[in-house]
Amino acid sequence: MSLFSLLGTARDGMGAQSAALSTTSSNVANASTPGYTKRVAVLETATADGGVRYAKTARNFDRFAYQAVVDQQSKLSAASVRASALSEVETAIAPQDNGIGDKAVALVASWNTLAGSPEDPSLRANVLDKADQLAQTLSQTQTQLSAQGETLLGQAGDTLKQLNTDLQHIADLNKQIATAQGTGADSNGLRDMRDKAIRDVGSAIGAKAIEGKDGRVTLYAAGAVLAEGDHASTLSMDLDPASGAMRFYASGAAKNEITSAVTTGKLGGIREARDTDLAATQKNLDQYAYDVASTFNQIHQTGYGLDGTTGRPLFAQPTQVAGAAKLMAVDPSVKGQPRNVASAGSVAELPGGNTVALKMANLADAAAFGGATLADRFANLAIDVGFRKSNADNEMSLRTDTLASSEMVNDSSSGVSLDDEMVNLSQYQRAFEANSKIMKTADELLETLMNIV
Amino acid sequence: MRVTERGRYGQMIQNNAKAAERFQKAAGIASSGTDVQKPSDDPATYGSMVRRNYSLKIMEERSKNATRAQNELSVVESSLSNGIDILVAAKETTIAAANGTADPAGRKAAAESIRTMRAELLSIANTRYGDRYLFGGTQTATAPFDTSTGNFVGNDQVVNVPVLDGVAPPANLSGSKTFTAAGGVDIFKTLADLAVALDNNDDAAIKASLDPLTKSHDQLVNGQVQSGFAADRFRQARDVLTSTTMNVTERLTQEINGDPAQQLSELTLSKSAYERSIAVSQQLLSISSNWR
Repeated sequence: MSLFSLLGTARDGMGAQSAALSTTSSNVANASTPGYTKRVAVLETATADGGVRYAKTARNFDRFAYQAVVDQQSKLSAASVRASALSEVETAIAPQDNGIGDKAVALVASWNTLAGSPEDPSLRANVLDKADQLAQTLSQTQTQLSAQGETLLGQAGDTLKQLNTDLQHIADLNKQIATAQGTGADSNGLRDMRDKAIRDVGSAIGAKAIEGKDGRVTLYAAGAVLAEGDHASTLSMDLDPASGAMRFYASGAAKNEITSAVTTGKLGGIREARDTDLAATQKNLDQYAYDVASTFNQIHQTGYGLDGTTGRPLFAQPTQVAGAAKLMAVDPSVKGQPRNVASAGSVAELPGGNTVALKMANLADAAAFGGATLADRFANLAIDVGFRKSNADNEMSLRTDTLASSEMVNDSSSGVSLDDEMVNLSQYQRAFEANSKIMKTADELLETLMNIV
Repeated sequence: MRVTERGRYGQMIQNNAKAAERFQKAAGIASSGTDVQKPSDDPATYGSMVRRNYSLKIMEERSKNATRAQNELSVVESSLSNGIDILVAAKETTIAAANGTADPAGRKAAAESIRTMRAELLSIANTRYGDRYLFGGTQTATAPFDTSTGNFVGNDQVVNVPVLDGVAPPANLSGSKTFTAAGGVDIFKTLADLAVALDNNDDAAIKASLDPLTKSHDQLVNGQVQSGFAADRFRQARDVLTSTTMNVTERLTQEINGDPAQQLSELTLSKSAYERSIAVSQQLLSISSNWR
């Protein structure tokens, strides 16, 4: 080996360490950047002169660990959106005060009071007021739940828009990565961007990515291929005309429905919250309203108002269960007419008879509302929502922990450790200095030789 | 496991958030004193809470009913007591007038007294509580007794007032059975006939009225006793309601309020955990000095 080649070896060494220092610098700068994967400078021995050369900058990426993060993220997103939606449902159904249960018991209590003094106009007006308050609360609660359904629908629409943007972004990145890989250019930054987009897709609907030899990934979610090569599917949704439930479609070469497979990610959570939890609660509320109206009406219609007229319902009788809560109202024949409240069981009883008021009062303890008491009916309604919310909270708590655990595992392989980088910095700095020393030594040797000449 | 900056900070944030959430929850429970505020806190207990609150509300109303009915029956009892006093006075007047030494003028004066007493008794039979006539059955809006003839124009329907589950004792006394022949003696007719006999100085008729007067007295006493018993039933029902309300309230409190000592203990523990978590975070953040 000549002294001149020694200079070349030292030069290559300084270049390689400089490249490694640049990688360290990049790692330190991006230590907190979301989606950034730790870079490693790959140095290798130069076969010609035994020196070193910088081969490439590699990503420390563990696709299995990252897939676990994507999976847990999608489950957390589903649980999170569901818990949030159910929190509002719970507040609507069972607020701290003045909820449906309070209004229902107030109505029965008012009949108990009226039974004690059936001819008292203020107690008759009180019964109507309590009936009106119950009807309004039921109607408002159902309206509130419907509005929440609309909000969830809007959220699903926004999520779909973002999802389609992310899918197209992944397809574009696939193309750029394949091109970079073909030309030998650095594609690490593009891969970071693509992995982050995959995680975003996972958060929206779940995702599983498989990378091909050309660097392109095929992305699967909800039982369909959402991105393949340079092409992305477009997701869309509509509402089932019969049930009002959301239906999802993936449009690639052909449009196919994927609704039943949308079970995870934000869309999965929205779907479960809107079309399962909210739908069940609204149905239960309608059934509750229907049974309450029917039971009170059945008795009230047998009674007589102070004007001697019978057959009046207390509530406007719903024609069917669906929509009963929304349309709940005091019947026009008694609304604002305390004298028309039927307390007596016959004309002969008027005005102080309380046969019917007594039957109404006895509804406090009777299993007359679809086979259950009024208290049980509301308790069951609230408990159902409570269990759903509690389950969603537990799931969210579990997924928060499992995601954190997966993040830790993933970060341990692909994250930046400043401790590591500090050591690397010193290591590459010293190596650079050593190479520079060799260069200086070779230079001095050459100078010595030159002086001899 | 290799620890990275992102992992370390992420863990730090999560730990602090968890500790803060625990502290927040403990503070909410300790300040309200209630473990269960919404269905999801404990669905089964919330259901029980709904049922107990429902019972409490109904019992509160029924207790008011019982009080009102008891008050009404007390008014009935008190009115009949006055009626009994009137009949005692009527009997004394009659005995005095039936004496052989009584002259026609004295008997005419006695007849006037008896008519006044009859009018007072009619006024008692038409006693009202608020706007309700108490002796008219369910005919509570109009006077049950004709103030001139004394005829009963109400009805005998019983007004039952709900006080306990499936228990609704009668809260009124039959006017006809208390004052008219339906109860044995028509008191107003007896007094009217007596006044006529006194006016006519009809010695035999005056003496013959003593027995119906005694029966009238007994009839009102019987009514007074009945109203007393009825009032007592409502008083007992109210006692039962008060005791049940206390019992239900205590069980409700036990179910949803939890143990105050435990709640305060959890508040202290969670506060301490939160402070420790923040202290650990400060320590972790200070490690970066290696880079200086």
